[in-house]
Amino acid sequence: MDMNAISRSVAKLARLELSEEEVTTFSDQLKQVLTYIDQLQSVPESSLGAPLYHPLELPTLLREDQAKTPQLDSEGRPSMLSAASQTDGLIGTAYKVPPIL
Amino acid sequence: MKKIQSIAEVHDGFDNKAFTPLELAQEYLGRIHASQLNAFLTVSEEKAIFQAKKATAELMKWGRVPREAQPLFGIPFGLKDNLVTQGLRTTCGSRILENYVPPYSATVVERVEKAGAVILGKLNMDEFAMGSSNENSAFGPVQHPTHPGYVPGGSSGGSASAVAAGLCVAALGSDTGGSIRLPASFCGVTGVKPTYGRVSRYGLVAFASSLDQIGPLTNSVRDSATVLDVISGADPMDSTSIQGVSEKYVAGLSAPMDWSKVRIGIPKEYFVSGVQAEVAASMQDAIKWFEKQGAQCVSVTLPHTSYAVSVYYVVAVSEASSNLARFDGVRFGVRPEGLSSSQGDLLSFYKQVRTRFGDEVKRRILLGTFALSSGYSDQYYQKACQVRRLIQQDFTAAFEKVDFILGPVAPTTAFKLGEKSQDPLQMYLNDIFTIPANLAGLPALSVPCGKDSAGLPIGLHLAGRLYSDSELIRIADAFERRA
Repeated sequence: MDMNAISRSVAKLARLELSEEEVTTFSDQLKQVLTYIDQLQSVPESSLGAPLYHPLELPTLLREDQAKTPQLDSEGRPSMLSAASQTDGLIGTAYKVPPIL
Repeated sequence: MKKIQSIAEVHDGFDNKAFTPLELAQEYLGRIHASQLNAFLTVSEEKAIFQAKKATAELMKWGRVPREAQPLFGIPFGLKDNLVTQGLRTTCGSRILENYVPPYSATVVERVEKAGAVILGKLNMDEFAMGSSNENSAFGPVQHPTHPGYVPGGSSGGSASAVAAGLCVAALGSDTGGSIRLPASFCGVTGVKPTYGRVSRYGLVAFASSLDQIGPLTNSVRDSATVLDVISGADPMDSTSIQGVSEKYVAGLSAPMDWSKVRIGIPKEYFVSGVQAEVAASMQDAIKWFEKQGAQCVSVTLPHTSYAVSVYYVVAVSEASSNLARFDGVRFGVRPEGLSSSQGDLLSFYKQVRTRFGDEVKRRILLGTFALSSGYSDQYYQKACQVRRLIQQDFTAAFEKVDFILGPVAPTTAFKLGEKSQDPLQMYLNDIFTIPANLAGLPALSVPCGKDSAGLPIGLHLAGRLYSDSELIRIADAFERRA
């Protein structure tokens, strides 16, 4: 397993930019952790059953989908927008991002 | 003013006119400003004074503390900084949320405020609750309350250190793999992780959603029960909060214990080499005390314990890599200086924003993304979830024989700042005894049970069946009052 190559490819998937120094450091640390985690492969297949994704395994609860009047901030916009960058993050009540194409 | 040890002591002080809620809040704010512990990231002085003045006026009007309607009336209170607070900065210990002022409050925050708590501020923590020593905070580590140069434990290190040092009377933390119980143990306070779903997670910045649970850190089990009475219960805003079941934790404390019906399991896997001798001795003393009361202490086995850290560091990081994808700098969070929405492309914008994550967060996102990636998810994520079921089944089998599981919270007492920070694996192994309760969703707590020769506190770990929080609180309260 070329850990440096894996770190670079996984960083790309996770939208993380790593310096070469970070790639080396993280790769060494991740290799150490993965070596430890590999003990999971020693659990006998015969003892394994269905995976447990959540401790309670309850049916999904749904609530009524009700529209609520949004709270407004001091500038009269929905307050959920107020955490966006105030200098460059909004156009009216829309989020502003760099071009995607 | 001497250090106040309990909520009851505060309320008696109010009733006896020894101090007013405003005087008390001012006293605590003064202590926070003078403190060198770095426990608070944001002090909400204005809010605290406003709430304390209101409480003082109400006390004047009613003449006594409204204990029933407001169990936390006038209590100087701290909140871990991953609980969102409307209008009050919430950083999660991260540079990426350095300027984040949430537009809403977590359900638990609304509940403690409604119960009368005076919010003093937001408490330091490992970034995104990822850590066991509080050294991963972007705003510097928290100091141990009594031993300078030592860690307070993490990730709720600010909460534990602040309660132990008398900077607040009670605090909330969150526990994903031991983040309430470990710092409680290291700092010598009580910390409770309730059954998964007992407490709403709405407004808790998500780390690993199938493991995270909010709970109290206090100076006594009784105070934890008081806080739990306030914060527990179903919430329509959290579909994983348990519906219907409601428990009265404080009321449960008044019933006498019938020790002959109490069976305590001692897992042989928890008493192995690597556990500090003084910690092991302290556990033996606790076992003897329970036996003396008439409880049956029997050996049990949890055969998959040795896999718990591996399972956790696949499951938790996988969920984290998914949860932390939302930090893109668009809807909230800090954008690096000079980064514009008009230039470059969206992908490089995301990458630039996400450089603000600290090393441990990056490490866990990388590991989690890897464990979920095509070609590896069967080997890591799926396998870990299969072994997670075996760990849960270990507990199910043990709880057919016993009511509680007893052990140490951690293999050692608090270690020195910097001692383990360069070795992530050693740091992860510190959580070996606390992680299984999160994987299985069980209620578990840390209660002080002695000190080592250096004077560092030792914590006793007790875990119970799903939904047995009330019984767990009762037995811990009895143990705490043993002297």
